[in-house]
Amino acid sequence: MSTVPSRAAASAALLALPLVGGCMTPVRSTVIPMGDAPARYHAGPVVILALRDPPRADALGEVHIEGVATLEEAMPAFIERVRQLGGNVARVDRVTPRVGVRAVTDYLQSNCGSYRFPVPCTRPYVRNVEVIDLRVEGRAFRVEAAR
Amino acid sequence: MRRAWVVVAVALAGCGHTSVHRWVIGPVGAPSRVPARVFSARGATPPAAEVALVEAVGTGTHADGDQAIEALRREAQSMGCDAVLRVEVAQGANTTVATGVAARLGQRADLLARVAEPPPMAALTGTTATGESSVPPPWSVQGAANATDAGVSDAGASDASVAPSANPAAPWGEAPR
Repeated sequence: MSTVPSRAAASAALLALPLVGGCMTPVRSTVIPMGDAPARYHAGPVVILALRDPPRADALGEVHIEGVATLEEAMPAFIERVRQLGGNVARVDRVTPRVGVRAVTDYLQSNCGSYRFPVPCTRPYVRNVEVIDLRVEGRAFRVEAAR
Repeated sequence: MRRAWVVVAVALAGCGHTSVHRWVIGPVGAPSRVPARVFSARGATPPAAEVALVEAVGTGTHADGDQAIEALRREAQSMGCDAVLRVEVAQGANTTVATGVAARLGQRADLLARVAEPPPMAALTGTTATGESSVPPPWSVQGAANATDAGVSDAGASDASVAPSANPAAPWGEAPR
């Protein structure tokens, strides 16, 4: 059984951090504005619909969110993008789940030396892990308040 | 011998997990005993009032489409819904994800919002079967979300009380009273 000095482990962890961090996919979002009116940020509440369009609404644009695993991660990003378009109502047209495979770099620590003269080694290896990718597609609307 | 079987059963049970996520967008009702119907995203969507976006994730021995859909169905029933619409499933080797919209069939959301009355505090407690506190209400201004273990969902007594919508008041005047 090999013993790895804590210093080597710490350096390996430091080395792995940016590499693994670089492999992680952050939330990706796309906004496709409709019309040429400049978007004004809407700081108020946003109504979410899933099965119908709001009445008397002006469509402001499409919003796509990707790179998240759960609705709790996707919806705040979705709402924020709707706000950026100036929308106070949004319709979620589609929530599409996907299961993908992503390569993750891990580090194997072992003893390269002999029993009497142990030399700690750190060797990178790539393993595939399944990741969930939720894609939320929707549209932002602006509805003026009923009087 | 019997002990060995118990160990095997416990080991197998520990090899899989189903988690359910939801984002509430409509009035949540009391748990329903009526089995929720499931409609694919590729078929026609019947008229219904949306209540929540739901997602079920199964891993290991639970990475099965049927189990994920069953989890969606149970989650919908726990919110008083009788249907899960627009169901989509993605399967991997060790992970399965299903998404859908929990809804009440044959209802228009605007009418549902009008008849929704805030239930008494006593009725609120425990109606979501998620173990979360109902005071303050589990929904926020932008719609509440929470994750539960699918096994926790419990189709309890079917009560007609309907909690107010998670969504803020609609600007076109469909505010729940």
